[in-house]
Amino acid sequence: MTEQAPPLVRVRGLEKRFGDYRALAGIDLDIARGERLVVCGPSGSGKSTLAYCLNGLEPHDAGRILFDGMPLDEELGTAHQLRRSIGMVFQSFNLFPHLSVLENCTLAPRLVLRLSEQEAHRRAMENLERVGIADQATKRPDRLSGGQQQRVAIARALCMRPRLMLFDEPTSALDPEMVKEVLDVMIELAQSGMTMVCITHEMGFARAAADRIVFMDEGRIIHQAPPETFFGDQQEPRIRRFLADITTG
Amino acid sequence: MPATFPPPAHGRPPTLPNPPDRAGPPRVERTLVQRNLAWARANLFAGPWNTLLTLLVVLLLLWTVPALLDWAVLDATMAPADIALCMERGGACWAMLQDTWRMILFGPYPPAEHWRPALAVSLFASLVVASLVPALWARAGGRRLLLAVWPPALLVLVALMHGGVAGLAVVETRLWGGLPLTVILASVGIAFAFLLSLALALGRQSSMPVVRIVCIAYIELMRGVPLITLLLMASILLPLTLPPDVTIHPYLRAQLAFILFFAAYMAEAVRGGLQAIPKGQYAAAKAMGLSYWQSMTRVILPQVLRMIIPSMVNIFISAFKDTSLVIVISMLDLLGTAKAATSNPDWWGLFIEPFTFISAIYLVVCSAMSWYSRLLERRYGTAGAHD
Repeated sequence: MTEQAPPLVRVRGLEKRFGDYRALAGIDLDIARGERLVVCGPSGSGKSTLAYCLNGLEPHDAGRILFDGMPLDEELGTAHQLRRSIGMVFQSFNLFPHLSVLENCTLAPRLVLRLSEQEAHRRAMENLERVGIADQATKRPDRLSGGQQQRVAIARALCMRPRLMLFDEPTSALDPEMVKEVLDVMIELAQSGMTMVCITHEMGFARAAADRIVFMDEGRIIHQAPPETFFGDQQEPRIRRFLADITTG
Repeated sequence: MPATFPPPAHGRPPTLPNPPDRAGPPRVERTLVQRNLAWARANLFAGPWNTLLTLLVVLLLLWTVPALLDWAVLDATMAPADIALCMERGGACWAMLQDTWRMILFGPYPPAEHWRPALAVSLFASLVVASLVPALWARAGGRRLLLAVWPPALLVLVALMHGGVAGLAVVETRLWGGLPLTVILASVGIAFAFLLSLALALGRQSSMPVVRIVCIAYIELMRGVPLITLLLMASILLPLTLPPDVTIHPYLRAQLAFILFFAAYMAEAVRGGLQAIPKGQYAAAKAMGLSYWQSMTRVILPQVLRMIIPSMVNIFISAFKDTSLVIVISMLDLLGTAKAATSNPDWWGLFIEPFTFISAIYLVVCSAMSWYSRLLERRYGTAGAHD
């Protein structure tokens, strides 16, 4: 019974074009409940597009995405419904600058989940506590450092109690000294059993927290393996080149 | 992100102890003079061109100010006086304003009832001022209070102006004029044009081609014609195109023309703001599960409106002044009543005084708007500047 549990996300033949450019050229991917997936690959390989398609922010052109058995499709009107169960953390944080940290976290729970003000407030403080930033709750986002802003963004997504968290290069826009504080939060989240898809070049994080590493190039998944195999005896020349490139910076 | 350090415990660096009995007035006066001299050197005489410009301005002032003073004060005539005495003395004939100011302010409204429009305008002005206090808007209680007060207040205003209730004599709308008419045209016009402009700006960005094309066509059409032609069309053409038994009140026709015209201008200001919002804000709102309207009203538009305060207030100010164009369709707004005062046989031939009077009113209102705009910019200006 438990072995037969369907995956949380099932992707089949996913394609996405921007004009003539094929950003995704047929992706097949299953993500199990509680699985921590790291997606990497050279820039332009379609990683971010995959994340944007997985929660329907970008409508796909062909193929299917099933989220917990439900088709996720803008045209069927299900994307909007399912998006509230999928948290997303962006490269450039995208906090709402006109709202305080706390209001950033309570906005969607109140409007979308229709939580009471007290309940939304309680949930927000709980998650801000979790990412270690509760003491900044009344500040505006632009008063915080990049690392703090990204942690708020993670807390904001968690306030929706998502069943899947997407991270789109969450540390790429950060100064080096702030990367760790964000990765620490992500590792803690991974250990708590959250299903996660992380697009990242942080191979330290991949080693520490990932169940599986997916390597993409030119809109396709060309290799996937658990970290020990992925980093161990890597035969694929493109991946070896990629790993060499990111370690030399 | 720069670290902010707390200021030193002592606000100013330690100074030599200053015996209080020595720090008398002469010393303060000297530093004041010195400071002014330094200011003058830096701002008025900082180089040959600057000095020349300063001297030119001083000459201009010497030339104009005494003449203005002669006209407005020294040679001016106050009541009791008639036109003959005014002409003889040659200065401003304030006696005329003392005689006609009520007529200029309230137009053909029955003089015995002038207290009603006066009270209505004061009430409206105080409500507007109260509603513009940011501290009131910041609290949910304040917002509820304002929303609860406005609808009954508007009813009271209409009751005051129109009468027919509580023993007030009925005053038909064709007798409304002067300041109340200007205030109604401007405030109703600005309020509805603003709402319409939000819809137009969002429509112009819509993914639905029909909506987008209609909005673009509307905006370009309205911006492409002079306001005067719109007013004339609304007052002459519109009645001709309607069936004979349908009549629209002349005020409503003018009001409609204003709303339609200024909505187009405001829509372009809003569009500029919408384009300045980073794509990530839309994506984040959508990713959180917010619907289109929720993301617009709670995430995008609040940032847009903060950003476009200066250009919006600019349009508000020109809208307020442009209500005076209703004079071309014979409506007696503030400019209309001032012009009517110039044809008063008792004061035949005097133009400057009534126009000075209403100019002062326009100037006060417009300055207040621009002062408030700067206040809002200081309060909200920095938010939204960052990604």
